[in-house]
Amino acid sequence: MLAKVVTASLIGLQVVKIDVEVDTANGLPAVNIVGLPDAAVKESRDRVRAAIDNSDMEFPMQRVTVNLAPADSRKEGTHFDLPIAMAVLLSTEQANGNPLKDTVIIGELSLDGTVMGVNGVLPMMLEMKARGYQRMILPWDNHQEAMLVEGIHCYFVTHLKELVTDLAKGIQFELTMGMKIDEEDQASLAEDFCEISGQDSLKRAMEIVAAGSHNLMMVGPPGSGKTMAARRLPGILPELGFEESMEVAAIYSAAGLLTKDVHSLKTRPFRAPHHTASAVSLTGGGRVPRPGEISLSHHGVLFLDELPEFDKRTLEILRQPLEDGHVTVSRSAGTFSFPARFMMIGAMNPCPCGYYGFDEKGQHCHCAPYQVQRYAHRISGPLMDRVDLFCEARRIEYEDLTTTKTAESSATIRKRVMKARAFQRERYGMENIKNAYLSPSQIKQYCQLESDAAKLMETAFDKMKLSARAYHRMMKVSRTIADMDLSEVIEEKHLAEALQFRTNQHFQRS
Amino acid sequence: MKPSMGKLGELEAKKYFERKGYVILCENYRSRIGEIDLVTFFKDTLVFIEVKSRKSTKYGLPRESVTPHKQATIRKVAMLYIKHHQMKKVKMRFDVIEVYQEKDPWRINHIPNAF
Repeated sequence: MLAKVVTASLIGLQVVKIDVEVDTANGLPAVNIVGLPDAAVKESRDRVRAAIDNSDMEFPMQRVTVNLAPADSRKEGTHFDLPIAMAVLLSTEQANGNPLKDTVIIGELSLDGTVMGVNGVLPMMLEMKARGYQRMILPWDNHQEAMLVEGIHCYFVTHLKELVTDLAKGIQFELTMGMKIDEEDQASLAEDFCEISGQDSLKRAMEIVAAGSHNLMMVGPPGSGKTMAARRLPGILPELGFEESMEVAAIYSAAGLLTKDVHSLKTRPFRAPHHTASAVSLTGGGRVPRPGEISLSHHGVLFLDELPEFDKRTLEILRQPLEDGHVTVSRSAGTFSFPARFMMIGAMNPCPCGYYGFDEKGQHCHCAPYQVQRYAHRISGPLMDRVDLFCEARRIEYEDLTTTKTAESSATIRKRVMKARAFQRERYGMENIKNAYLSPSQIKQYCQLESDAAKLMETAFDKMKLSARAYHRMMKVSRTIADMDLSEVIEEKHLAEALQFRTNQHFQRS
Repeated sequence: MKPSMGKLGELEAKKYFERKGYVILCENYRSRIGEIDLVTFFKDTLVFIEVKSRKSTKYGLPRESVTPHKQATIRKVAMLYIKHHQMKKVKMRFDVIEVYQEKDPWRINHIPNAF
């Protein structure tokens, strides 16, 4: 007899609806799985057989043909176990199939019939919901993750036997509520900006970056607090909105990194790959690509500490995502696009010894001039061009370090950032764009320079030999600075501050 | 000598097919590579039959012991039979017949077109 069950498959971040068809016919006992199954899917034959036998039911001693339709796309993953098992039980009339109409089934089986959690449930749910499926049967292990999606009738299963008995006596679906947005302020952060003494310009730069989602490059001698400041950046960023957090969670779910803690879904991702990271680990890779670091920092921060120590090739691949906000990876299994809209925060020393340009009080650079030049040149011009703000982190003075008056806390800074973001949102309406993502035409529309500011821009453009891209980035940064002042036009002082963050003597190419 | 259980099973199967109207062409057709238990003719089809007898199902069903390797052997022997008897354009089919010798009367299960 023929039975049919609906499930989904995940390739990259792309979700495809899959029909699992099972036909049991008389003949010698054999199980054939067709429809381009991957090795893990082929193995599910043995898991399904053992799970059914160990759940007091009978695996048919007949010829069983399993088809995963559409048969032209590759099927990966272990979540086909439960749908295959259910289709087998339906085709041998060992389970009641009526309640399973239009129900998506996802789950992995262990040999004793226990249903185990799988990766990628969230993106699959979102896509299947968009296709109009209202009911899903999911592993209990994925309960928390599934609860994030709103308005789906879910049944959470722990054991195959339990599912079959419930199907027989009438199955009860549970309606998911969607993510609870509790207004509780972010849990007290372990790392707070008040711990950073001095470094006012660095803190100011951090605030601008947080308000407009810009890129930042910090230059300074060792021990000046660059890393310390970067680690505190997530604390002053606003929480993720619902849609943003869904996007982020879908990426993490596909990568198998989604944590059980729902609360952490609202904090922006902060990724700090080590400088030995390879190009593939940043973009995402594998035969069927999995998201890499730049996608994992989508809507969050990608912190690249010791930037010149990164492999050159690795850094150059950042160029395109920095402009486009997504990365396209081509592999034999197909071409996949992952979102990658991140804030790049870089930190570096000015030279190999770390003190070039920061010599004071006996501490001075002992590098040869060519060494200094070569160090700075490890980061290519095009990449530098994509940085919005440059900031120096000076050595901290003894007085600053021992002062008793406490610096501003992250919470205070965050409030200001939120205000600036709210001001932006008002201007852009529902579009939910941030200053850093404005297109040239939007810049013309939204970034009005006051007459004095326009004059200053003209001089600066010539004097600083800005590229067209640098000009646009300049405009966006000054827009953010004006937003922090709650000013609709960009005044001279706003532009001046933006320009001041652009001057980077360490990267003047000769 | 007392016939073996397998032989008794084959006799039982032969009786079953005769009752059904199959023409028995050959019993235990042997070749260098293997043997076919029954070669029969039914309507327009040449049917090769493998008989499997079991006294209990403790170690699996009889049909489970017809492994892919065994199926391949039967196919090869069938080809030899066809060649030997010049029956090239005849339709053919492979059946498995199970004889359960657990209790009297023996139960017979016929799987037509098994592989």
